[in-house]
Amino acid sequence: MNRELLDLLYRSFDADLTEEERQRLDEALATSEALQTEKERITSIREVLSKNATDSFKPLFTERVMRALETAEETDVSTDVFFESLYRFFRPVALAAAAAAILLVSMNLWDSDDITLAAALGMQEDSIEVMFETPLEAILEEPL
Amino acid sequence: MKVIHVKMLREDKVPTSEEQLVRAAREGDRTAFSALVKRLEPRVAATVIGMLGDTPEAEDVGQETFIRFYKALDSYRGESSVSTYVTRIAINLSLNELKRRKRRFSLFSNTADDDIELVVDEKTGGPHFEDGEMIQSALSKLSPGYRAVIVLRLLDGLTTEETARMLNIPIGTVLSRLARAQKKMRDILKPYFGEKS
Repeated sequence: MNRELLDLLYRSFDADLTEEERQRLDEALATSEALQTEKERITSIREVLSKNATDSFKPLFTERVMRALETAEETDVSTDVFFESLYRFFRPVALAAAAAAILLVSMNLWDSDDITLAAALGMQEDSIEVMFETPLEAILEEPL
Repeated sequence: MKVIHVKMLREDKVPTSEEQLVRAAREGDRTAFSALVKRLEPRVAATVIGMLGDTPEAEDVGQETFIRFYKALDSYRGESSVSTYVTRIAINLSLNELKRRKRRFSLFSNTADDDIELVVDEKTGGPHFEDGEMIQSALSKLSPGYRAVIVLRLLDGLTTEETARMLNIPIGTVLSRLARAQKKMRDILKPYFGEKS
């Protein structure tokens, strides 16, 4: 069977053929028994497919969907409750921690001459000169 | 805490169109949503069962389709019809389920997903099968991409343009997939036609 005509036949079911294509297909169908048989088979497959489309699930599907929906919403609600409790519990702790962090940064900056991130975090490194120039007594006298 | 409001419409205000039902469901009317499920069940069932066969997973995917739809009610803007919107959810969930199935069985099978070349066994080609079962069996042997176009175009009755939009592929691809899928189904069903003629 001519491959091109076969492609044309398949396309004719779902696409608009041009006038010329339609004429060529009609002529071929009029003369080729094999092409006619092919058309009948495809037509019957398509008919059986659309005729036998299952259009429902098992009985009481809607009721099952509505129940599943309620369960899904209850789960959503309990998840919301969980995160809300978590938020409520950690909020005072988070506020206290933030206040402590601000206090610590302020103290570090107060003690330091620089206003840098390292100074704010209390990670300022002493230079080698400062380390050697500091009298041992001063270091020993520093409260622990 | 999220409070579920259940509002019932008065008898004289029963919504009729799908859009009206969506509006009512969006306002918390469970009866309206239930009516929508009833109305859209045939389309969703045809899509999901066409894609997955009449299996327990198909029912699960059907339920999940409506749950997703319910959760997306607020974001539904009405650019497409309600049934198109729900069908899109159904086809995507079905394709996901087929991917999951493929992963699950990939250890036991070496069949390539895009390969729709399949050997017809005596059971599927036998004359004792009803037409519908035969066709469903042949359909299940197509790869997901080919099956999706057949399901949307022939089972759901969408146009080629709608099928292309739904699957986000060019119309030319829809046409070539339809042609190849039908040819493959015809090859699979060869013994059946032979017996009949």
